Amino acid sequence: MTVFNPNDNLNPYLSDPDVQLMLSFQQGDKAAFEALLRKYFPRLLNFIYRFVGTREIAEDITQEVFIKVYKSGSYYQPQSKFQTWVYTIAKNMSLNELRRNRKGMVSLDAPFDTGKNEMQRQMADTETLGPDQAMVQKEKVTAIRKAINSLPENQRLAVLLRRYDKFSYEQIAQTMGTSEKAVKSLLNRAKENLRTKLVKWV
Amino acid sequence: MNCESIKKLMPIYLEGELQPQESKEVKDHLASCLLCQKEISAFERSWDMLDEIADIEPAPDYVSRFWTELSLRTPWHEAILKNLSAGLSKRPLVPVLATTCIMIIVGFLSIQNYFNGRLSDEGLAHLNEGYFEMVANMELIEHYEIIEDIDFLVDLEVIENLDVLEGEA
Repeated sequence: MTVFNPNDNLNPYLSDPDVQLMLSFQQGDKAAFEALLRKYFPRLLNFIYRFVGTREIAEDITQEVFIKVYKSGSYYQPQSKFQTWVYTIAKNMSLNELRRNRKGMVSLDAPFDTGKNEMQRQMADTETLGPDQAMVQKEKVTAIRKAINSLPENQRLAVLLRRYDKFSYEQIAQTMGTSEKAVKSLLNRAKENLRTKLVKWV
Repeated sequence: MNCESIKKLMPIYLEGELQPQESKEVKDHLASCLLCQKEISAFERSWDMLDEIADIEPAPDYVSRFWTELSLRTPWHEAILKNLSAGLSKRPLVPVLATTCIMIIVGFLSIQNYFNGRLSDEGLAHLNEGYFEMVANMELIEHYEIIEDIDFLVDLEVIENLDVLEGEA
């Protein structure tokens, strides 16, 4: 259902189908909200999980993000693409959580807390590997996680948005509230850091 | 450009974000420098390695969990208002609202009458008390002027001997 005709309005974000879903929800269409929930919950869960490092906390934050989106429904006004808006909320909530609960966060030396038997599922094709190779692969995944976790927050955000969520520089800049030039600089430094930290594995 | 300058440009080169001239210089340098070829390969592989971390899946019931959590957090008056507004947007509720308004007005008037009745009963009770007291004292009030003129010390003897004096008269 098209709530606003993009041609009738100068707002460029009205052509975003997800913005249209949000506007439909604003008119009382709960199915539109649920469509957004189903589309973005898994993606945001992974983004937040990679950022904060604990599955349980990531699930809580992801739920909070959507509760905030739901409650924003009555006064929502599209000022960016829906994706940029919802990722900005997720980023802010994750940063708040990290700052509020630093002591509770996972140690940089520990593997990510992915829940019961989750580590095996985190490694690609471990079933085809022998015990020694599986062990090596497990160490490698732990090293990659440690490398990501050890990046400064801004570099980590830029890497996650670029590598896993396939954001453009412009989208990363909007989500992080910075310039595209700053994003390029962050990504350069992040890549140098990753290259240094993962030198043993490349 | 030397190897150090080329190394700094490698991440941007791999992203395809260098200006054409700079990109050509890096490409030409790489073609003739084994050290830089190894270096850029390390950049590329460390970036690609990030893919070895697979996605996690949300809990199978994450949608129903969300709705449950939301309903637990919604205050009751907010929920009523939302349902009411949703109902209004779907079908006309004018008869229901009109009946509700009439019931509220009738209820209000009934309560008002009840309190007015209580007030008037209390007023009558107070009036009756004053009324009966006044009736009881009516005789005194009627003879007030006579009573006022009586000098009890002087006229006491006259009053005591009123019968004798009347007989003599």
